[in-house]
Amino acid sequence: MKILLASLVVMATSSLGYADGSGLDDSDSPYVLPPCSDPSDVVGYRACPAYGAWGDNLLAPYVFVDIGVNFWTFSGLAGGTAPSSPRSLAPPSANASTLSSTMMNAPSVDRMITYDERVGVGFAYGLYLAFDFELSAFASPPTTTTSGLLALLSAGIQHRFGPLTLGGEITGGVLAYSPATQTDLAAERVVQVRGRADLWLTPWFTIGGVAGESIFGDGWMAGIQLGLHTHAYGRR
Amino acid sequence: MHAVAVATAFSVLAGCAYRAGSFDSVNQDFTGSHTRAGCLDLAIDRRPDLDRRPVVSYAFGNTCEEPALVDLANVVVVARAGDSIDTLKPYDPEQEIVPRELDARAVGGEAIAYMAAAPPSQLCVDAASIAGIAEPRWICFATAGKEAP
Repeated sequence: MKILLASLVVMATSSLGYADGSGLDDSDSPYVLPPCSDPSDVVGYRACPAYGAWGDNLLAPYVFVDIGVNFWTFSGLAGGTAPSSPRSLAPPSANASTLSSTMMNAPSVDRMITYDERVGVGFAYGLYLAFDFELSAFASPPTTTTSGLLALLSAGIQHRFGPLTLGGEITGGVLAYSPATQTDLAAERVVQVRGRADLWLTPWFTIGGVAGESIFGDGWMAGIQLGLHTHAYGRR
Repeated sequence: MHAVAVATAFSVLAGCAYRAGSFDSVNQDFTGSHTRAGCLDLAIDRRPDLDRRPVVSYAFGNTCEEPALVDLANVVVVARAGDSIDTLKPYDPEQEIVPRELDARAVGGEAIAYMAAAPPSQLCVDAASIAGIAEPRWICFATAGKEAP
């Protein structure tokens, strides 16, 4: 991610420098590269770009970046935000103390919508590793809103079938959140199996969906994302 | 270089993938004689000589959905000067011309000068050899290139 950000900085500062010819003092920036001012573009008569710049992306590792939105459910979080049963369904004649105890012991279901940033690297045979960072506020129950963030590492395999790439992965990581009933930050282990599908809108741009189910517990997730890929059609 | 990188980034977002047979791209001019070799759409042209060396420009677009070989190191270029016919070697003082792969639906281009004993009156390029195809596909330029100013 830092490399990507640094690259963006290089591109941005360099192009700004070339745009007006004097906007930036090149000597002050270690990032700005000398301009390509060769009188000829013939190989052997030019200093830059180097021969074969049109193929440089295939010499670098295949990297993809996804941005999306996910919907999560978690069951039985420590210090859970509330029971899953809506209070309005409680029979009016029920014993108040028994009902209260039952609700407190019932597993809570917390739902949240996350903003997902995913960066991955592809390897041979369709194998890949990806890191997800997700940030959100719990969407439900509405009595007390708590925030949460997820840091996840995924290992998976994918294959392209025409305009679609289908994949499966194992995802593990940590959910850190602020329980409604506590002031301290709590953490929960997350381990999921997931299926993914990406539709290639262009050779380097996808829209896709993901669905996963927790291996431990009853939680599940689903989401959509847009993806940028440094190798066309994700080929390694 | 950076303008190309920025243009490429915008092209990606805009979905500007190369379309087979179009010989058209915002990132690459396809001037010259058009042909196809394997996955490659090729535009080959002879430019004015440079230091008495004939210059050939190549533009290529990958029509396939997988990377394609672009071998300008071993492209066969022959020159006729008088009664002699010679196979020309590229002028490559930095030894940087090597076979490379072009990404699916991507474009690229190069201009290469060739070492010739005498200014050739005719110059022919085997376009198929760029894609590593054995059966030759000759494109010839009869007019001698004028020296670039």
